[in-house]
Amino acid sequence: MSPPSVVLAADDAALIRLVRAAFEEEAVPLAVVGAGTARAAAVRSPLGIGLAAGPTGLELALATGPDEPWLVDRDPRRLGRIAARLAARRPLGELP
Amino acid sequence: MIVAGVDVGNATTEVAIARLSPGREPEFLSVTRGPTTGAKGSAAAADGVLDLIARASRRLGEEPARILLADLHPVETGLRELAADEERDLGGVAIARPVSATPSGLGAAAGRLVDLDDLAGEPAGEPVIPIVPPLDFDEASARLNDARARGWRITAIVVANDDGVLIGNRVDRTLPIIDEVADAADLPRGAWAAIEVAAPGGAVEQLADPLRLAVLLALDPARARGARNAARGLVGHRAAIAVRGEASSGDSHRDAPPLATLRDGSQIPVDHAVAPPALGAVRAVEGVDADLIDAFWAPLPAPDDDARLALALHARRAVGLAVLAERGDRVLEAALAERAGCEVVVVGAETAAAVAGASTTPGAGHAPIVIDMGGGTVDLHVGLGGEARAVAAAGAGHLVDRICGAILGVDHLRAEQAKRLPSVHVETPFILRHEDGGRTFLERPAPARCVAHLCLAERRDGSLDPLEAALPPELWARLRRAAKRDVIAANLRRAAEAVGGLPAGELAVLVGGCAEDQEVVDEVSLALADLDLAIARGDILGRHGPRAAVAVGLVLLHAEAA
Repeated sequence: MSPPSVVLAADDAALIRLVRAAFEEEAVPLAVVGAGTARAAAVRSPLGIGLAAGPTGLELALATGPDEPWLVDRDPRRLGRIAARLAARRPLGELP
Repeated sequence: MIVAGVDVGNATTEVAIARLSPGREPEFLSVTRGPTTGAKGSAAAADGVLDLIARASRRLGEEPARILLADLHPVETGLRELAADEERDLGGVAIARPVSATPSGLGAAAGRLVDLDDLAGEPAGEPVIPIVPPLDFDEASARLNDARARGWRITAIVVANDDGVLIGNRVDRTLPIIDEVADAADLPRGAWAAIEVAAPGGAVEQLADPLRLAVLLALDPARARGARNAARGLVGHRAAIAVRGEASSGDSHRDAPPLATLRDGSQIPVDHAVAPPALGAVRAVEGVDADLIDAFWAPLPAPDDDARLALALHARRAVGLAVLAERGDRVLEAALAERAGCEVVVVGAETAAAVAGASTTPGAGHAPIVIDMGGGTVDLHVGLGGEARAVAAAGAGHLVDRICGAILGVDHLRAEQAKRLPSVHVETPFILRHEDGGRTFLERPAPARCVAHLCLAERRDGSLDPLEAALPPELWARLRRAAKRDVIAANLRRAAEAVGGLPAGELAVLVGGCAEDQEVVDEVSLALADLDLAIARGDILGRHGPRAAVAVGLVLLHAEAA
């Protein structure tokens, strides 16, 4: 059984630490897999929410709907918080 | 001859242009409407009237030779929150406020506020609450753990960043920790403080209890009751901080509500706890520089199944007030006559015109009861057996706007939208929960700013407008309906009493902007249910819905008189 987690596809340790911190703060499970696209990470996520580094920043994609990222942010901690709150269905707070 | 019947309402101006020919029924050429510019009856309102006439004239290729007006009485509406004006004495508590979206730990604790840097020294002989400045959570956690290992008694923690849970996980998950305290640097070091964190979904209990708060802050028993204002401000929040301050009595300076002077010379407060008197009983209200025809007020509605919200709304001591004033000048008429270059005629009272207009509703015949619900007033006209009675009660759509705006914390323009649009809660980017609890799915994801928010849903294109108020749509819908009931339905009952009651079994035609709102129609129907009336929405000239009854009616009255 897969835990209900958001999936982060990344190899960058600094980025992973910041995103993990955001998820820990929000008490939302995060699974980390090797680098890939945010869309592919979202498809792997039981919650349908994926994160991955893109050309202009960290990308947040949804498993359904358009292929393009739903949000892009240069601040990984902030986008991590947004993804965690999205999974927890809480107001997202400050947006990029 | 071309004439223009003009109804300048408090919110909307409506113009009906018609051709009058001797011996023939008026031929209506156009009915248009736009926002009222300036106050009703003011010279500024002429701008909107002339703009509407000019646009219609261009389209028709003819200009009116005569402008027909009703006898206008302006209505002012406002909302005053007495609590907002009060000076609150926190009774020996310097700071008392809710904090943190994601606090850590559970329970209440007290201690002396110290800087994180202070923990480098020898342990104090008393409990402390360190203040963590913007700092990496791993470093902050290491310093806190080191201090605890050296004997510091840390009972709670204040964190400037959004790192409360991170630090709690690395230090002690049971410690109450509040975070996102943007002004942590300004908290008074050395002061005695108390912090409480409730379980998710819960609310603080100890800090919201004046006695427990006083004990935590080591206030003496005589000062405990003075802490009630501080405690009251923390009710309903998951996490909170209170800091002990200088001794004080805890006496609030409570602003007195304005007084309404009745026609018998007695006075009553315009207060949320006092019901407004009968229609026409008020002749003056403190702070309103006019002789009044009527005054009406209503408090913010309180949900009967949510004590926490009801208490918060009650504590604001807010009251929406509408006053209908006498008007001695004719500035709008003069401005129109000067600028339009044509004759301006005051045909008669608005209520008589509304009856004439409402009677053009197919099947209505001569409508015996007409209820005109506009922005400023609820006008009631009863004409039976050759006898007619008409009254105008202050307070209608605009007052509902004010109350809705106060509940949602939005300006009156957005409040007007919130009054008439359905709301949804955006549960996920693809799922909307509606006011009846049903859910629909979006084809494209909702904007991020809408997620987990109450949003207004535009009927035309489905666009979403997020609101900051943390209300579920089911609750907001009940409050919105209650506002309409408390203002429009309640005012209609006052009007009905003023005309000596309504005859059962008759036809009542609803006209005016508020009659377009099905919720208002429902509330009016409920208010009059005992009378077994046939309540129908007007359809002016069979094609304009309940709008423009007065503008069309002015033309009809003028043609009849001619």
